[in-house]
Amino acid sequence: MKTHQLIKECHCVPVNVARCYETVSSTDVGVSKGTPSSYFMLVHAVTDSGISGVGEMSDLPTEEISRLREASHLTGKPLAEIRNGPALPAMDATKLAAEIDSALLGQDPFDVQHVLHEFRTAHAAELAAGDVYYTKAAWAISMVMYDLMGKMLDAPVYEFFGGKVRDRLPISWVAYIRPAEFLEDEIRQRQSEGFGAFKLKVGADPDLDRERVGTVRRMTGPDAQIKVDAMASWSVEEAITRVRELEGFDLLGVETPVSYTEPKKTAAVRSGIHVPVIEHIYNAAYGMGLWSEDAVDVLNIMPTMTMGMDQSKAFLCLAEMMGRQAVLGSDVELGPGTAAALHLGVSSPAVTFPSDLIGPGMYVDDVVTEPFQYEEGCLVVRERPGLGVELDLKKARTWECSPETLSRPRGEETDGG
Amino acid sequence: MSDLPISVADYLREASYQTGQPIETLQLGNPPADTGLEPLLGEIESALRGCDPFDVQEVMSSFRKAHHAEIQAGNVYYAKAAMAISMLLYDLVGKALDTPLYNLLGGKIRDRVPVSWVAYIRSVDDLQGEIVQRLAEGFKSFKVMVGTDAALDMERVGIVRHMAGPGASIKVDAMASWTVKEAIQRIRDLGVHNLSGVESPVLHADPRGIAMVRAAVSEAIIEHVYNSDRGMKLWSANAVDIVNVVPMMTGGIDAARNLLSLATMMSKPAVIGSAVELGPGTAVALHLGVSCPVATMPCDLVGPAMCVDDVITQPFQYSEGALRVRDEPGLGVSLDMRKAALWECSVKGFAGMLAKERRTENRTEESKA
Repeated sequence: MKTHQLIKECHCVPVNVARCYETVSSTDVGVSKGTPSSYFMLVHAVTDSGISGVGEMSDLPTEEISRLREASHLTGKPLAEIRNGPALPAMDATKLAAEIDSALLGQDPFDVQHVLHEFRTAHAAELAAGDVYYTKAAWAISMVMYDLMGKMLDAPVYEFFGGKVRDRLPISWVAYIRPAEFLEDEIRQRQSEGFGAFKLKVGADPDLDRERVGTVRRMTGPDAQIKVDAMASWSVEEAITRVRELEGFDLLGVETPVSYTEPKKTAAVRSGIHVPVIEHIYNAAYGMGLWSEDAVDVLNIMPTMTMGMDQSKAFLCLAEMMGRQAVLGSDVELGPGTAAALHLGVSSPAVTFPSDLIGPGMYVDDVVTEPFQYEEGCLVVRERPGLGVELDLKKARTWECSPETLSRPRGEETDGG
Repeated sequence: MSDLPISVADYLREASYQTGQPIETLQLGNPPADTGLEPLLGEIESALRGCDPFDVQEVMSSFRKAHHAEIQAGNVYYAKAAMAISMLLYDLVGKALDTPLYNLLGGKIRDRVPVSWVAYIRSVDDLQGEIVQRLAEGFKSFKVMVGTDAALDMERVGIVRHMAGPGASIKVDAMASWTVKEAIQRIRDLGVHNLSGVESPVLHADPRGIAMVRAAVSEAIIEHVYNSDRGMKLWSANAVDIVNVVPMMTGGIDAARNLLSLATMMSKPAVIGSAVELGPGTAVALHLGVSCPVATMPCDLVGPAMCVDDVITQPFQYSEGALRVRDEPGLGVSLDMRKAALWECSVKGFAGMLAKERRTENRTEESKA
């Protein structure tokens, strides 16, 4: 057997990359201007024989409300309960980077489960509180190790998950809430790039929603696939009414129509409409709840929120076992994160629904030497060892930001301005 | 493909486990022990010939589609054939990548799995001799088959507890023999011997029945999960504390891994169960056991000790009552074709076995009439 090399170097690089435009979803309307850029932490590790691997923590929240919302997703507790409960532990990005480095240094990349178990045990409190920084750190650690394993065995990561059952994933372009003229330009551009599937963020204003869905259907014709994502904006009654209003546009699916913490409510919506229901599965208990209540048609798995590649694969297997389709949800990833999600997606028989991996199209730049390109609205998995992407440290450094920008709370926030 | 049934009763029992249907409702169908093994062997060979071992999921998916009817009917020959195919492909993949199978399953988090010695129903004298031997070999946990005669069950469990001492872990397996009422009574009686678990307490393994027993006793309830449907039913009924996954019965390494993930998601510990495997089957079960975070219970892998010989070049040895996973590429075992040839039985011998059994039954019936 090959003797294994150990991780000799590891360091984390926080970056802030500009989006092509500010993105607005229903949770932003009336609250903030939208998201102009995203924060990431890149993890770069090198073995003693010089093999390097990359991990990515994507779209890190820098506002307290966003951290609380993510905590609600991860714990399954309603946002109000999180808000009224004990505050999330303070986020010190420098300390977290050091913790990630020490979790990986000196380790054999094949000991994924052991390393993750140690990390999860050491940060059990943060993970139990739903601190998304630690959830994503675990994911990034897992990603780095799989990248290294794949390179050491000269095999693409999908080989660790049973091999690929397809070589590409069709992607639905995600249209956020923007004024009508921007939407038309956006759809026209993506159509010309070959996209045949679209997801619209809805839930802020029913008239605007109808107008926007109508616009997309008119422009893309009867064969395009259109999903809507309400981001838990509606009550059960509202959801049923709104979806029925939109049914005429022939929707492929409706995502997160109501609060994601109560499978019974999702099931109630599902029985009142004729459109498939898509719901996220962030943790096993919630997933099992969706099963028991027969609440869902399509499972949306966001690898970055699962704490590891194996865990993501387990959720994809759950979808398979439940006889449901699955999609790879998006955390608007850069190249490394997109690659990891792709390897998972092409190896799962359940992923027969268009996925949301729009990261490569959302940013003005990437941090890998060969960024992904959409081909006829699909992302093709890399047939190279490991993740199949190489970190371009020079480019990453041009987007580097200081760890303080990620650390919470910051002094200014206490001013209430 | 381990422990293939060659009697009508065994065949139907396996089909009952696979389908979740009571034996009474099952049809015999056309099992290979009746029609002959050649067609199945031919189907296995054609599933594998010309394929790329890395395309495991595709090969498995095609095989399952092609034999959907047999698999649905609970024909365990096909379920075991599927595992044999899966195992072979992963052995080749592991060897091609020069890495042990556990590295393709997330890495090992332990390097050995403790084994419960399984004491079948035998005479008291034989049982005592058996326990003496296994204790000397280092076994610290035991599984005692029960469910036939209450007094005999009490005596046998008592003997094992007495001989193994208060620290040994002892579970019982009732093989789905009891009614709910009987189960509650028997478990309460046997509970005096301090059991680490009770497996398959209820007839037909009915989830609601098992849940009722679980609510009434304090002992951990262990139940088989052969497929995800069964797993979900047991979980929704709140019926189980510990999940028993028999890799040989799951239809493939990916399927076994899925079921172990399900146990992880249900936050239930898992037992790696056994179909009394030879070396290769034991190796697969071990790779799964060492790479599964919740496989923390002693497993039932007694195959290597139950058979007088093995078909691999270096048979597994129990050490301190545990089996160590092989760190060589693939499964980590090599087939010894010479030994296998020594134990080879005729393929033709499989044909008509059940028909012969039925003819004998009919003759017995006729002579009675």
